[in-house]
Amino acid sequence: MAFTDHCDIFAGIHEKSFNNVVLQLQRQRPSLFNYGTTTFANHPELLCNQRIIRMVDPEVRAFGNPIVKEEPLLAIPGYDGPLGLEYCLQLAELSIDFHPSNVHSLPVELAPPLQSQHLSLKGRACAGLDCPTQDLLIKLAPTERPFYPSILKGGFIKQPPREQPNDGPVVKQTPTRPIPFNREGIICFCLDLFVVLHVEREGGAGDPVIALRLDNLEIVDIKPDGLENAVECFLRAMLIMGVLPKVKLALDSLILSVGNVLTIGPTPISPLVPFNPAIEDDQIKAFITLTV
Amino acid sequence: MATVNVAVNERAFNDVVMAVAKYLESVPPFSGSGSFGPFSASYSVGLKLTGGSIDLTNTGRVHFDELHLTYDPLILNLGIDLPTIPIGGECILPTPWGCAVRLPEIDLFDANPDISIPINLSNTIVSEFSGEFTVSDSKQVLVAKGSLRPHAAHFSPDTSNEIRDRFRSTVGTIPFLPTSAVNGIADAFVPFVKSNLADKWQFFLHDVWHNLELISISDTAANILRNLTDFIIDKILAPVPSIVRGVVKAILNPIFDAIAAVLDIPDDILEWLSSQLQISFGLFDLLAQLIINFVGSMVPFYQFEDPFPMIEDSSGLLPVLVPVENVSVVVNDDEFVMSADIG
Amino acid sequence: MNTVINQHLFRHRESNSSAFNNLCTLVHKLPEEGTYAGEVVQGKRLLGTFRLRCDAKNELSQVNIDLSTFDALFRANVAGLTASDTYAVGKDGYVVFYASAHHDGLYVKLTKVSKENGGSTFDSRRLDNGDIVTFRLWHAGSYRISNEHGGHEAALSVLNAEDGKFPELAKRGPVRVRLSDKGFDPAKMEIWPTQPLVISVEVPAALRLQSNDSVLAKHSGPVTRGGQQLHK
Repeated sequence: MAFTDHCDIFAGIHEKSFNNVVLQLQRQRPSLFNYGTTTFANHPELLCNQRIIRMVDPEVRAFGNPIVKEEPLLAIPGYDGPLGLEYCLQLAELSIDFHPSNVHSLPVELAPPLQSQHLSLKGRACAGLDCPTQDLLIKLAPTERPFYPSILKGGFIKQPPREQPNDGPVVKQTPTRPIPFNREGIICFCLDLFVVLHVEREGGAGDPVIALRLDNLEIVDIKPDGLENAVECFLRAMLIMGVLPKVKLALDSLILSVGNVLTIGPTPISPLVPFNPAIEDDQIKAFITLTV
Repeated sequence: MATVNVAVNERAFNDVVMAVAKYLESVPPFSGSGSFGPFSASYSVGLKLTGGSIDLTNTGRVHFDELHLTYDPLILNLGIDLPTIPIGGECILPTPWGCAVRLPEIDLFDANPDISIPINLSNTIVSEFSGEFTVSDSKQVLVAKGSLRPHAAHFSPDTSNEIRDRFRSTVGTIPFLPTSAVNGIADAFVPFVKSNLADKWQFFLHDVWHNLELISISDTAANILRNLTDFIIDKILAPVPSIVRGVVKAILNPIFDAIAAVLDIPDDILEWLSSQLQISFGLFDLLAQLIINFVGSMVPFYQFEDPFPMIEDSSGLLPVLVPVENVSVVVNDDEFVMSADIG
Repeated sequence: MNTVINQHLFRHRESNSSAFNNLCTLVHKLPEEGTYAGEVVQGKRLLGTFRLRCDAKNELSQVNIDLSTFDALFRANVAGLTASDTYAVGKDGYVVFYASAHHDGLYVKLTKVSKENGGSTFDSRRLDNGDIVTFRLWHAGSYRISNEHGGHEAALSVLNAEDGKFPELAKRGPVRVRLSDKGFDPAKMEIWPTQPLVISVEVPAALRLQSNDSVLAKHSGPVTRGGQQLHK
């Protein structure tokens, strides 16, 4: 049986190659996998997972590309001032498993086995918070006017009117200055992460791209359940809105192109080609039709 | 097991290679010379691909089947070195001991007489090319790349003359091709291969056997060739005042008879022309070599960078380049398959 | 493509032995040995001079002198063309004057170089007994030949081809005519284009050839056709 029985051009990438591609992605686009506030962005050596920092391609620095995507400071609820907490977040040790699943085992929450036309992603999400010392916090805390009673003629103790509370936000301004960094105060933790995705085809007929769509996500062994669910929600939002839109493979980069004479387009879905691209046999496969 | 497979079926492969072969039309017309009986001859010829197909075989070969080539332009210039024809020399004072006085001789032709007869056969003759080729791959590493790292090489345009010089050297091995045409032809193909300084995996077709022969000639061209003698005579006599043209023609009859004898074209004009073009100019060998070298060792019909730009650069971020290793190609009856390991 | 046909050959239609062009050739026999000084003139312009040596030790019976080559401008435009200014011929030899190019109105003078005054001279404007004039014409038609010194006249027809096909012209020999005090003999002739008409002069002569501007395919009366005298 030939690769091109139902199309003009076929491209198939095995999960081994794909894992190598993900590795290259981590090395050459580190800002997709490393996030942090200003000090972490300027000093990647402070990040929690140094393993993935060490493998960054020297060309990234040579071309002035960022290693860490800078994020806003973490605001402190109840505090109106300009200061914020510094933190970092990293996605590390990523590996892909195309259907059928034979690279990693899915946790029960993700209803194994991996379904047909799906792929799973395993990784480690590492986060770090720079925790200031208590003395520093006290020093930086704002000074409010103290509350004390006043004794008036007539003998009754009367409280002076307080400032009326308003209905505005708890944090009155976005923090713009980090609390002075405490290198010894970085608290790191990592969580194992499983993600199930499928591929979809986007783009026009002459410019097809493969995009990844998130189906489900599971963090292993975090309690209580509410905390796990909240963290999963956060990571889901981060992946769907932040990471996956930046990972799209241009199909025509894989295909023969001869000047502007030939145009390629995805083979239409049919009983002979029910999925395009297809995830099966531990590969992602694309079926292309050629038009002269 | 290879981790990436790209397969192209026979029809798509046919379209791809034919599209590339169309670039033959952008080769500038090239010139050459030869001899043809008493004539010297020069030619200017260009090619157009007008039909045919390419099949894949289960012997691992690519079969070119009856590619039709039309010659446009095709200008032949016949040169004739005319003998001197003296007017005069008659004896006007004969004596018993011989001729005492003869009239002086004046040449009918100017000194060093020769004429050039252009014959335009553009778009009138069709050849058919068939052949079989194997597919091979190789990695092009430009000297100009030097010690550049992959991303720098990806971004750096190739401004060197490496590819041009290599093409000129290849085209220069074609016999019969005059030096003046070599550079023009070689340089015409450079833009299809030259891009940046990154290493490239390239795929070529190598000649196993080939055949190029004349298959048809238009009525117009046949008419020109059959009336070539009259055409030449008219050309020679054109400057002669009409009132004395008959006189001059009578004087030149021996030359015209000789030309007619050489141009006594048999009924099978196709065979005659084919024979003349090959014997006089080696034209078919030349054209076949051009096609073979074009589709063979010189211009790859497919190439891609190594490392391969899997995700292109955007918003100022580096493209994601993925190394490619263990590239191989297989041709079977159904498809052309390129396999490799990436990452 | 080089200019091939020598177009000078067809330039002229008429000629005159006293001011000749490439349609006319003059033959003169030198009377005695010695050195002669020659002058070549076109109209009133001296084209050049030459020396002619007539010597018994020389075996040549004729020497050809192309008067066109004395034109410096003409020589400059023709690659490889050179002119000589010395010629030699044997005793009783003939000097043949002709023009190979476009020139018209040519005449030549020969003067014997001698210590005594009054050496023999030859002036082509006035031919005499023993001189030969040859006309070679390209254009078909009828012509008149007249002797300006004696008033004699002859009629010449240059034949045109039937059906445009001429016979083999290269094999036609000259047609011969005598000019005496009685006139031209024969007085009417026919020749083919390029066939030489050789006139042997026996009286002072300056022969003028003029076109009557008409074409004859046939004629009647005493005639010499193509060298064969048919009847008187």
